[in-house]
Amino acid sequence: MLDIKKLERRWLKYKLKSYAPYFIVLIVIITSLIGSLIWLNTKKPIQPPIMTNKLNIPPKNTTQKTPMPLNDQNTTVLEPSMEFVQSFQNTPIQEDASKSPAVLSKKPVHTQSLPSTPKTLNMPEYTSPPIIPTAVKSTNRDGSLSINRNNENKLDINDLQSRFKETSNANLGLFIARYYYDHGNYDEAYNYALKTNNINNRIDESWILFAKSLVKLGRTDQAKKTLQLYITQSNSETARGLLDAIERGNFK
Amino acid sequence: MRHFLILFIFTYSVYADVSQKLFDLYQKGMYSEACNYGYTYFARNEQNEPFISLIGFSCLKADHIDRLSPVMSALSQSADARANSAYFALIVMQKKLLMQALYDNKPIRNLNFPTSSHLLSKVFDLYVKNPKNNDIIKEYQDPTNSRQGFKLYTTQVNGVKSIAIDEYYDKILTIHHVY
Repeated sequence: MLDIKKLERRWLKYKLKSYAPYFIVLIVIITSLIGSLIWLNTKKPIQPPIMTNKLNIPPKNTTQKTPMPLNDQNTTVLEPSMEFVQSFQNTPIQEDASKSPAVLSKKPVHTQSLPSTPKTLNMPEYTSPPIIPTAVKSTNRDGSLSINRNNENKLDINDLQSRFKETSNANLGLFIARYYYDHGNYDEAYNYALKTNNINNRIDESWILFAKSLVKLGRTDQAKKTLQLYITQSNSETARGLLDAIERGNFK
Repeated sequence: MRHFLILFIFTYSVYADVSQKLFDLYQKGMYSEACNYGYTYFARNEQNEPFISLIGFSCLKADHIDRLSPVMSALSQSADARANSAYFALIVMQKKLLMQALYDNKPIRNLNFPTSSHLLSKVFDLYVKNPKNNDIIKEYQDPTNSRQGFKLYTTQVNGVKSIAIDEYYDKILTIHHVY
């Protein structure tokens, strides 16, 4: 008797074995295809770790490899844009801008500007206080918009004045006096030189500025008397030289 | 409808008032106050780029450099805003690099970096050229004005590590900045 079940199992095994090479070849092809695809896709992302490893090496190497020119004329300069200020402006600017020779104004600027706030925005960038363009320049300017460098500088000197009020630092007073003298504001130069002398009466330059301001204000006699007094106290050569120059008429 | 109109007018007037007050504070030179005031209304006006820009410049003038970070993030829509954002970002970056250099001796020589007219950029450029590693207080002279000088050093204000820059004119201290 034939065992049909056994025969069927054997036939199935035989069939499977006959297809086995095809299956194996197919699987190899598919896996190689998938593998190559994965390899191609992952080729780029693999690089970053290599790159980061390189970057993690002490930065000295990277900087040394690429010596770059330092802040040459090629360096990009970023400047702020102040056009947004126009959106804050409701009133015409021209009148206010033309009124701004404020460097030479005697009274504190804050109190003056309070009622009619000038619609010009102070440029929020660094400018060294003493390289201030003079008031003449500011009056000549067209009061178009926005960036008022004079105003900025004016505020800087106001900062110094308020600091001087707080600290009563003689050096600061002398600086302000010198600043005003250099800018032709002899009233303020006289005031600050006087204040400085009251704080410290041994600063030569302060007395010199005081006397020079007096001469510039047309009070030559008072300047001479002051210098004579100071010379008797300090025996200052500079003061004596200035007194001689005033008496000869060399300094006017 | 009437209620809506009243609400609209009220809201608009409050908004205009806030903007105008910020502008007035700035114009009066009260930069620190303007910076603080602007910050209280920052979230409500995040889409208003002129307002945010003015906060940025107020904080910059008040030497509150760290407060520029959210400001520069909020500026992106207009060319004006992007220019200011880049300007603020540069100054923040330069401050951070200077801090790392001064506190942690991180070398920042030979960097090719943009610059600006702000004091921090000026001192940063001078530092990059000559870090003066042996000096605790680094003294520099303005190449464009021999009477102008700067001192750069580390300082702590209320326990917060900062950097200080002193401006000198004829060797007289004129302005002391803490960033």
